[in-house]
Amino acid sequence: MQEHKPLPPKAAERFLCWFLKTELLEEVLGDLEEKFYHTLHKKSLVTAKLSYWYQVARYLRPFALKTFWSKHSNQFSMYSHNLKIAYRHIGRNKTSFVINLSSLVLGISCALLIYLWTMDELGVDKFHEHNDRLVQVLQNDETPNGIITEAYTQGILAKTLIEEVPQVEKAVSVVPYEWFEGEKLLVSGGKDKIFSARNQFAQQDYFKLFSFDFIHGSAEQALETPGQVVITRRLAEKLYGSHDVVGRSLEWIHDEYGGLYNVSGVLHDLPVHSTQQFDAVFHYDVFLEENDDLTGWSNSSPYTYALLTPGARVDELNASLQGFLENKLKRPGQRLFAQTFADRYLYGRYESGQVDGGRIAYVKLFSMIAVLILLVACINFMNMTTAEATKRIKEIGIKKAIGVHRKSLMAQYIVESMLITFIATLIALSLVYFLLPAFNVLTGKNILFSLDPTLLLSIFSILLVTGFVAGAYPALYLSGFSPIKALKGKIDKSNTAQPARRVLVIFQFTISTLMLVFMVVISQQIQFIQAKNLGYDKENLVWFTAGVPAGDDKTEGLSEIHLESLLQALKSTPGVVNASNFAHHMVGEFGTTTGVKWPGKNPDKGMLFVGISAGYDFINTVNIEVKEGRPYARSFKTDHEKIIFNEAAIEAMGLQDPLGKVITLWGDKREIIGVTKDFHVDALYEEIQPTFIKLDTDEFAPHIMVKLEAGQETQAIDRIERVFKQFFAAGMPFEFKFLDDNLQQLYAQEIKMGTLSKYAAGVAALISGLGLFGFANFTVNRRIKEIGIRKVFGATQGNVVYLLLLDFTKLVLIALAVALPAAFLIAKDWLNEFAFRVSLDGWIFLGTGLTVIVFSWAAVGLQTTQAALLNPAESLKDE
Amino acid sequence: MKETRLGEFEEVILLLVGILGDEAYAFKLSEEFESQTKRSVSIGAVHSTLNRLSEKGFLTSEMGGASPERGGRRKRIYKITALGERILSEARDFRVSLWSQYPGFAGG
Repeated sequence: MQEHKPLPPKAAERFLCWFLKTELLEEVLGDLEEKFYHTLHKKSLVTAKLSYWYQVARYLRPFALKTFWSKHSNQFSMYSHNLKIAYRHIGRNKTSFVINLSSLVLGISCALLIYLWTMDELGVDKFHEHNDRLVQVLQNDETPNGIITEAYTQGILAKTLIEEVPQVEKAVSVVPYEWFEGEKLLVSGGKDKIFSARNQFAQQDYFKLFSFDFIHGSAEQALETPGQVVITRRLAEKLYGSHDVVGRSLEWIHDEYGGLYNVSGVLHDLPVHSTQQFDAVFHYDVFLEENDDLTGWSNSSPYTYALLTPGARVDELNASLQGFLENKLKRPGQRLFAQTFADRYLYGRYESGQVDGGRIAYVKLFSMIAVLILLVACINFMNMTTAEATKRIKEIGIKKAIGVHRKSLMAQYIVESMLITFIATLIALSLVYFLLPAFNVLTGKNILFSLDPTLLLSIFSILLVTGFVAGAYPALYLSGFSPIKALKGKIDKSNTAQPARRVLVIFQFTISTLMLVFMVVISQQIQFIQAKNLGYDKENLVWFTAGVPAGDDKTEGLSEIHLESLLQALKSTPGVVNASNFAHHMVGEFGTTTGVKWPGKNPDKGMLFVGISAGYDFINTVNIEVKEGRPYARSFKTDHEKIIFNEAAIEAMGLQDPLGKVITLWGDKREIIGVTKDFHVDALYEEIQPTFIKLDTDEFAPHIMVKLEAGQETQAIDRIERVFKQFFAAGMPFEFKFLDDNLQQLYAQEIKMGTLSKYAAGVAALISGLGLFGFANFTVNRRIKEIGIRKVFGATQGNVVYLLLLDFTKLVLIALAVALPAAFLIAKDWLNEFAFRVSLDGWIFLGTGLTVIVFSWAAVGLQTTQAALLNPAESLKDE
Repeated sequence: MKETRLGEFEEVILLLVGILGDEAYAFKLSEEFESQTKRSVSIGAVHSTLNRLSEKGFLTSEMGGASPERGGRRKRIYKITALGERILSEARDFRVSLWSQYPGFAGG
């Protein structure tokens, strides 16, 4: 006999023993073992073992399986009993079932939508392969107005980081499309095929850091030389009609970077979850060649991204960056720090040089709202179930008397609530499915509804948690009855759940009131922003960008004469009130500088000025009010050497009688010829800054602002387009924008949040209302005899209504007392972000409070009136 | 009423039970099936069919002897019942009658 006889795999045997009918075990084990040695005789041990497993698996057949769920087992019959009771209970209490179900459906749908939105927000920029090692290097600048954090960094930073910082494996400089500040970039793929594109510059390693998928070409070969370009599929199809275009040439029409480039790669369209959006990537060296000031440390233009070495942490990199820039610059004031790239989307706000939240605040806020709404829906369930407990006391008493454990009673109620939650989840899922397109429009997202494992898992956990939370309280409460009291029906008198139910109702109304106030404040603020006088007239202003002049030499650029004749042509177009060229349209776009000096300036104290560059008539076109002096005018030949300030600037400089005074801007002396009233150039988060308007009439201010006559905007725009076609090269797209839309975009986030919070508050209020309706229904039913007796003794209908309403109103009043002060604090905190904000008037709170009270009356009114109208003979006859 | 028709696999298994006699148990049957038909089959599949045939009353079974290569476990030996034999011969007669009506093979 052998010492170590090989044995069939133990695990397989155990598995077989677990599922196989006991009576078959001996023969099957025997057969399989015989088979095992038979196979072993011919083949290897591994094969034999594998074959054993296979044979075991093939025994998973109905005839051989143990019966795990015998129809006669105790558990099975208990579960089917519980389901049956639940079903009958639903049938008996249709009103409360409908209330429970609809509040759960509303709550779960709301939670699901918010969940989808949150997941989408959290997924932004996380698709890159080296996600965890990708960082962006940012710069903190000390300015007179505090530390400003900006993404623009030095042109040779990336190169130096690779050489000098040990934690950096790769780094690239990227000049993003935003760097061009709205300048229209035109590319051409042949005659008459000119399109505007979002061009950016990047170094070759860009595609090794970021995982954008190539259709043609590869990250290794793309952008090897400055003559190459990588484009997206969408641009390729626009330019060439197909995407297989590697090797074709692309022309960039531009006075600095213009020329022919060779397409070296085509990318799949960029994922929607990418914050980096572009159409074409050119070689960074092309950019460097035109901006030779970037080879030093004093100017900043590109973004700098770095890939950490495996294992290195961001804080280690930050330690290395300490003092880095001071050393290079030989002076303090500028510092670098790194932030994980994927974090920038959610944590994109900086306060005195530190990361200070950002979108994450909204993500957290809405997650909280989702949980609260779900909780409010669960409370409805708890309330309705415990309220109806009185009707089920006998059932519980009998069950307990015949020896049912408390545990299985609890299981029964949990099963019941799970059942309802399950039905609610199914309805909510289909609701979400149909609402998703509208939700996408509302949130500006592109969320797809696919039941992937994560979503299923989270739906399942929402279901379990909701079912449990909703069922736990009734289960604990109902199962705790003593059987004797229950059978005698004495529970009613010592109704311990009554105060708890009241607390729950108060809690519900507190949450709804909080949300309502917050919603009102947000929409007030949004209205305030939109109605706020910005210091200029934003109505009927349309702007577009001048293109390449018609004629042969496309690269010559826009000449001053051409621009001037365009403006004259526009002005004589019917429907156009005025027109001017500009560089900054003032809606979040402006330059800043500390390069202003004036007589009496303290040389040690810098001051930051906002600079607007614009042509003649700009002040008139946008209707900025001139307080003193005059705007720029063509009749004065020397206006290019003058300057106009706003009131805030004059005040900040402390100039008396400013007209005629001479200041220095970037080293040139300029005489002040006018002072305008203050106007806004940024979102209303910010105070009005000292601002100057400088005259520019050449290609440095290439955008055209046109004021249209009210009432005939469409015809005027058609005519402007004709003028545009006359003046600019064939194939140039005419793309215009209303300035008002730019303003809306500036507050897009707030407007979206405002709309979302409206819906959320509406749903919360609706659910609470449903809850109160159900609660009233129950209370009134219980007191029907009392009301009957009161009426017999002479109470009027008014007395009865008053009695009942008072009861509910007390609850609502307590909720208001809790909610309103809390809401005040939260709203105040939110509004603090804005430099210009609505005042938190008392009427907002008063109004919301009154609305909530009236709403609650509406919810309980029906039953109350019915009860008061009921003939006492009806209610008292059967005792 | 139990289904009394035979499927192809059932028919083969039933015949094999007859052929193997005292050695007709699940493992041997599956081995014999593989060597006769050159088709592989799992013991579980054979066992399941044996079980079904027993339920239809074509087979009976009893526990037989143990042997060392089975770890001292007994085997279940199957035997054809009278009903099983009748079903088999009916199936054969049916085939033969069909063959005899087929002109191309009438002489063969």
